[in-house]
Amino acid sequence: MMEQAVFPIVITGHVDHGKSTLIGRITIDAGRASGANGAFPPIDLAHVMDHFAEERERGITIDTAQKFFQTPLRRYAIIDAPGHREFMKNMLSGATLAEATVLIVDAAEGIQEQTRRHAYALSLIGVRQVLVLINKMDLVQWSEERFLELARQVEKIWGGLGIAPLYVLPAAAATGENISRRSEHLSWYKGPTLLEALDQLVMHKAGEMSLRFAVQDFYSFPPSGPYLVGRVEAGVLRPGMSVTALPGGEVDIIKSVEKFGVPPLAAAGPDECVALKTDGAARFKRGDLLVAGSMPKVSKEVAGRMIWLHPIAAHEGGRYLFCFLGREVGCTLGSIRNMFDPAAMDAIFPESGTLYESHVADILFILDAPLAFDPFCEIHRTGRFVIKSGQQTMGAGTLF
Amino acid sequence: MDTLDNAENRSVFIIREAFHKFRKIGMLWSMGKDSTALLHLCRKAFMGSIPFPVVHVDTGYKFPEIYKFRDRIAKEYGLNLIIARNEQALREGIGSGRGKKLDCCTTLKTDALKQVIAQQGFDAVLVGIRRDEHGIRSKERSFSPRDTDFKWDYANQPAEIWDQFGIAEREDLHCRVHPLLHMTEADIWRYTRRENIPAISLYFARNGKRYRSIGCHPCCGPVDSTASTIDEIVAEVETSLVPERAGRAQDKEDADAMQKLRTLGYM
Repeated sequence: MMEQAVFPIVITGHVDHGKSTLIGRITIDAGRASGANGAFPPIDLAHVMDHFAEERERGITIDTAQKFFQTPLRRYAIIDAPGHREFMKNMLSGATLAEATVLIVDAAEGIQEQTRRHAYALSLIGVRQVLVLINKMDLVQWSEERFLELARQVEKIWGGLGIAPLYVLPAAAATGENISRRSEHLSWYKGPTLLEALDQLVMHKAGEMSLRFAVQDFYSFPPSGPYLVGRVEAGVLRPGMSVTALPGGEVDIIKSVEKFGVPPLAAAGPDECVALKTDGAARFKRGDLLVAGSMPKVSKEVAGRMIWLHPIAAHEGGRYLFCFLGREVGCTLGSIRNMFDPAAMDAIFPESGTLYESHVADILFILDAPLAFDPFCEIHRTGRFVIKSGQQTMGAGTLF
Repeated sequence: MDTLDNAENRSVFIIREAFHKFRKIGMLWSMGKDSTALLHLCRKAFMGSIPFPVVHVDTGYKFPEIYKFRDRIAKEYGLNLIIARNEQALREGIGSGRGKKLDCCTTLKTDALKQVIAQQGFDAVLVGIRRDEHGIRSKERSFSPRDTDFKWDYANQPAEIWDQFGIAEREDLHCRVHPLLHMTEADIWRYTRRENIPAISLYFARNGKRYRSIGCHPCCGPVDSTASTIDEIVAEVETSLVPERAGRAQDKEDADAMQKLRTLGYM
C-alpha cells in the first residue's frame, strides 16, 4: 500500500501557553516520545523538544525543532515554534514548512500579544488550516463559560484574517485531557479530541494548477546529459509539452522528464525534482520559470505584504536582495505603506515610509530585472519572497 | 507521492541547491546507513556521476567491515574518495582508551575534518545527520554555517524560510549541509530497501545482536536483536523504544555531551 506523505503541523501561540508541553504530551501519547533519546535522562514534558541546555535552564524554547508521531491514519511531523517575539524568524523557519497549525491559548491568561502575532503571521504565509486549543482548562475549573468566551474571541481574530478555525477545543495538555482521550472534566464538550481533529486536516494539492517549473541549474557533465534540473512548484510537467521560459519568453518543447535509475517519467507533479531534456536547455538558467497554462505576471515593479524580521528598520529607498525561488535580484524599496503591529492591530500608519521589526506593511519593490510571478492567492509557491541583506534574512512576504 | 518519494525529492533539492551555492563542496561518508543513503541521493541528484569529492573521516578505529565496504563501493561507483586522518594525533597514540571520549572524538573526528576542509578549501560539506537521531540534531537547519573554530552558533541560527537557504557570510566560514534532516531511521531503512542500496553486514543480527549505529569499534556496542534482513530491521525500528544511539558511548559522558561535541564542530 502506498504510504501518505508526512503531514507537517506547527504548534504556535504565546510564550508559556503550553506549546512545548503539548508536543511532549502528543509524542508520548502517540507512543513515539523520546525525551530520553540518546543521552538525556527523562525530563519533564515541556522539555521533550527543548534540547539546548540554555532552553532548559531558562525554561523557554529558543529555536524551532521537529518530532514525528503517528496516528492510525498517518504520520505527522510536529514543528515546535518559539513563542518569544525575539525569535520570530525561528518561528517562521518552522511555520513555513507547515500545512496546518495548532494555536494554543492559555485558558486563564487568554489572548496575548504573540497569540495575535502568530495568527497574523500564519495567515500571511498561507497556513489556512487552523485548530485552536484552549489549554490549561484545569486552571479555570473546566468552565464551559470561559471556554466559550475565549472561543468567541479567537474566532473573531481569525475571522478578521479571513480564516475560520476548523475546531476550537478545550484541553489540558499537561495531564492529557482531550489530547488523545476524552476527559470526564469536559463532559459538556461534544467535539473531537485533538488527535481526532488533526486527522481531519487535508494536504494542500497544487497539481491542478497551471505548470510552474523553477529551474535550479544546468548540468552539462552527466554522461547521459546535458540536463536542466529543477522542481515542479505547481501543475504537472509531461514530455512533449510546450513551455515558455520566463522572464525571457522563449518557447521550448520538453523532450524528456527524468530521474536517475528509473525509466523516463510520463509526468511529474508538485514537489518533484527532475532533470529535463529540451532543445533550448543550454540557453536557460537558474531562476527561470518554465510555465504553461495561465501566464504569470512579468514586471520590474512588484507589490506585496511583508513582515520585517530584523532589528534595523527598513526605509524607503533601501537596497536589498529579492529572493524568489532560484532568483536573487537586487531591489529598492519604492514605498512602504500601511505599517502595523500584528500584535495590536489597532494603529495603522498609512504613510509610514518605515518598517519596524515584527511589523507588517505593504511594499512596492523596484527590481533591477523583471520577475515572473503569480499573486500569492493564486499560486503560493510562485507568489512569495524573502528579502536579504548579504546573507541575512531581513523580511519575508507574499505578492499581490 | 508517498513518504519516500517526498523525502527523496527534498534531499535532491537540497543537494542541488548546495552544489549551486558553494564554490567547492565535499560529502562526508562514514559508510553507515545514513551517509550511504546520502551517497545514493547524490548520484540521483547528478544523474549518476558525483561532481565532487567524497570524504571519509577515518579515526583508524573503524570496524574492518567498514574499510572493506568503503573500498568496494568507492570502486563500484567510481568515487573521488578522500581519506582524512589526523595522522599526528594517531602517531601520538590518541584513542578511546586514553582520557575522555569527548576529547577522542574531537581530536580524531572533528580535528581531522577541520584539516581536510582546510586542505581541500571546502566551503561546504554535505553531512547525513537526521533530526530524529538526537534531540540536539532536531534543531538543525538544512544549511548550517560554522566559524573557523567550527563553533555552531545554535542560539542564533539563520532563518530558513521557503527554501531560501543561507550560505556563510564570510570567506573563512564553511557550511554544513544536511540533506537528510527530514528522514527518520525507519525512512532510511525503507529507502535502502526500495533503492537496493548496499548496507554493511554489521547492521544485520548475528547470534542475537546487531549494530544499530556504527562508528569506532571501541565505542560502539551492539543491541539485542534478531533482525537479520532489511524487512526485519524496518519492523524493529518502527516499534523500538530504545534510542538509536544507545550503543554510542561518546553521547553519554554527561547530559549535554552531544551539545558540547556539536558546539565544538562534531557532526
